[in-house]
Amino acid sequence: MPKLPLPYIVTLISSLLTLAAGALYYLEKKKADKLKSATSQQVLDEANRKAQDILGQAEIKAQEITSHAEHESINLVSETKSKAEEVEKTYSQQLQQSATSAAQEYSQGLKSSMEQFSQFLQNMQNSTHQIENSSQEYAKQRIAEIFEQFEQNLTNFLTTTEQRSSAAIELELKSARQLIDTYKAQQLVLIDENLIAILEKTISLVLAKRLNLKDNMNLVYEALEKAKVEKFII
Amino acid sequence: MTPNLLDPILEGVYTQTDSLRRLRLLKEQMVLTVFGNPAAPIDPTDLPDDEKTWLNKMSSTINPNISKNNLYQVFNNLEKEIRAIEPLAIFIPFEMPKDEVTRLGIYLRQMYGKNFLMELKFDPKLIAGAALSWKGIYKDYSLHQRILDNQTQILQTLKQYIKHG
Repeated sequence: MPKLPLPYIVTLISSLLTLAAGALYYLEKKKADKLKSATSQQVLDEANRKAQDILGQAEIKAQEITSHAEHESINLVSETKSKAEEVEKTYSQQLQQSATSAAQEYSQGLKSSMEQFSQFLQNMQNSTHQIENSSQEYAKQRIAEIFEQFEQNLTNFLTTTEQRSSAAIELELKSARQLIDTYKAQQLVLIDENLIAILEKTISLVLAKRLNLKDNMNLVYEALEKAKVEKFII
Repeated sequence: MTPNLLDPILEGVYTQTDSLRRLRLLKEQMVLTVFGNPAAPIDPTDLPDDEKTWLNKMSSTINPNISKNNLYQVFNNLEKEIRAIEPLAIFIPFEMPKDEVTRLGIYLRQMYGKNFLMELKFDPKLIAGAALSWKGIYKDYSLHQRILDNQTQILQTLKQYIKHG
């Protein structure tokens, strides 16, 4: 709950008292009005007189209270003013001090932050250099591995290709040789058949002139004898 | 009973062709005799002498047994009998004269029976010797076949001769 200033408190109290007095007055007036309606004038006059007395007393009290309240309020206000001034003064001093200390702390903090930041930057730079170096080393190593792998693969591929080519060429040569051998054999067979045909032709031409009837008939009888021996004619 | 007419017909002929030709001549003669003018028999002036002799002989032999009713039947039967005889086909690379044919025929009948027939065929491919065909089976005894059988040896000999001169 916020603290209210003293003059306001005093004013509030005096207002409340004033309200209380007013309420009393109203009640009494009402009472008086009630008494007024009463049958007895005396009583009414008496009542009026008492009411007047009471009112007078109440007014006096209210005035006393009001003056007392005013006096108190004036004192309070003056005290408040002086207190406020003191507080203000103290506050400004404290504020100044705290501002100064805050500024000092801030500058120190800033300085330490700057130092830390510069240190951090230095560390970052160092780590970056390290990372860069290690990356370069790794990249070099990786490139070397890749080149080695590439050479190995290339060597394997060339070896395989050479072997396959050699095998294919060998196969081709083998089939060509086989073809040549087959052709040679076929040609030799043809030559042999031609030789036999030439021989037969020659013999037929020669024997037609050299063989006489008797020789021919002897050969026929010889064939018949062979057929008889083989029991060809049954 | 009709006497055996096949034996006299086949006597002196050794090939089926000659046998059938002889039978045809005899048939013509008999047809003319039986159905034609008996006073004008067939004039076989273009036939050889032995054929003429044989024809006259056969005509007188067969005449009593032939009539108008059985003439064709008799000759058809004879033809069937001749055709039923399986001839030995002899393939030769030369033309055999008649006397040699007769000699060969006599030789074959001495070996295989009196009514044995042959057929001579000309085949120059054989070069020399003969090839025989009997009941559908052909066997080559000629020089041509012997050259083929010894082809490898002949070629080797030739190549050796060529190699060594």
